[in-house]
Amino acid sequence: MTVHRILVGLDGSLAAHRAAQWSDELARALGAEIVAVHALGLTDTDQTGTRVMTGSHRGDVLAAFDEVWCAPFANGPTPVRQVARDGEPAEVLLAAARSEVVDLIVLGSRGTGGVPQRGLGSTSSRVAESAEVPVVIVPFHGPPTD
Amino acid sequence: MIVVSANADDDRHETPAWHPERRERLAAVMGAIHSVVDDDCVALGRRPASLDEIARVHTPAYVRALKDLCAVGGGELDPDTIVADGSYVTAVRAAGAGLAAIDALREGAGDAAFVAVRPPGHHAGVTRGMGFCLFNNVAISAAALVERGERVAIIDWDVHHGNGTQEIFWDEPNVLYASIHQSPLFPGTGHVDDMGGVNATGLTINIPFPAGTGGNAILRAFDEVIAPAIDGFEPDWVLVSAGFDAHRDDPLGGFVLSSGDFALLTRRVAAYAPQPGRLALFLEGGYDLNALAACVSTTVATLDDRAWPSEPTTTGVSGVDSIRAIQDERQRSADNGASR
Repeated sequence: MTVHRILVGLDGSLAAHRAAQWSDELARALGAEIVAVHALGLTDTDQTGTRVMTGSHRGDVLAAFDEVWCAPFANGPTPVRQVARDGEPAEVLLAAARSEVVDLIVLGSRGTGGVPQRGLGSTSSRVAESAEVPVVIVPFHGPPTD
Repeated sequence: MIVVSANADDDRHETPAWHPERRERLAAVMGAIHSVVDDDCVALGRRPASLDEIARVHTPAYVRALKDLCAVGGGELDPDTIVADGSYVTAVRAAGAGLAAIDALREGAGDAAFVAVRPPGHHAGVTRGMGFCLFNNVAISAAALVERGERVAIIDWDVHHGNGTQEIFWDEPNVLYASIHQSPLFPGTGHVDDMGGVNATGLTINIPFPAGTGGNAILRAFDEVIAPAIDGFEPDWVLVSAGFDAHRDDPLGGFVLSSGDFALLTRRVAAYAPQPGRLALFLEGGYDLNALAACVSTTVATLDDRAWPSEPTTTGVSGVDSIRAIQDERQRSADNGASR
């Protein structure tokens, strides 16, 4: 199997940052491209990590995505494409995986949503259940971002 | 006479300090309502929705999981949707407030109802809550009416698309769902060519407008797209997902409506109801407290046929040119037999 394109989900959390670092290392080793994806919600975080209303701070959130959350890929050899779409995180990630024709999905073990809830499904578990390509969950045991 | 059904007195749905969907919203709404119609309204008592009533639109597994999460102190359904230990019971009473309003109207208690509840509901789908919403309040009331054999039109003027309501009634021939919303914007759904399932093709109506849209475009959409659909559907009831985050001061949306625009929208939906006592407005979004209070005051005053000072109506920088394109796209989709 060949991995040409790796999708990594980013949301400003420390776990997503760890997933981005791991994805970058893997992409370098495989000579693959990165597709960095963020699902814009009703609220988001800006460059300083402050929770903001996405409707009135859309530019700040996109700047955070570009300048902060994608920083692990900066100055490296890996080609990176950024995709930001409005919607529920799992649905955005799955749709982007299809439209960007990726070979692998990489997610942090927890997002800004905190610890996954039994019966309600975390973003990573819902993506893993429905994805058409392999999904890697990068473990992270530090504190949540929020 | 206006029926007011609320869950403000036992609101235990606590959210963090930064969160825009907070308790103070209901305080602003109730203050606005009572400043307008304190002498001409019926305030209903507490009435929780039963599990059977909620399960008409949500899976029992989701209801149980939400209840269990709240029982252990709460948590996060997603980065936007946070629950505390009291959120489940508050959501159950929010859903029940809508059902109580419908029952009161049926018994002749008033000409229209305003359901002042939180958390809001229109993003909550069959299997999960999202976007601040836990149970879909307007859908739970609509489903109760459908079970009695009645036809329901749901008009959604919140700035966000009601993806949960669309999902729940996608293939339901006794419910017409029409939404005017900003696009692009969360939740990223509500495309023009989403028109309903095979048993309800054409009964989902999505009218997406860009940021900067004003009242003039919204009113044209009501008159040129929604009104003809209502005429053809002939509903027994009109329910409204009445979010007020399309106001120009709201931090979550990019429309530029004023409180005066909401007076005109209220007149439109009142005219769609087949008779007095068959119209209920359900609070959805609206996160600038001053704008929310101004819009609710104007809306309730209009429902009660009272003169009320409101901001001048607006003409946005975009939107009007979209109407013809929306009509053309719906026609193309209908010609092609598209369903999703």
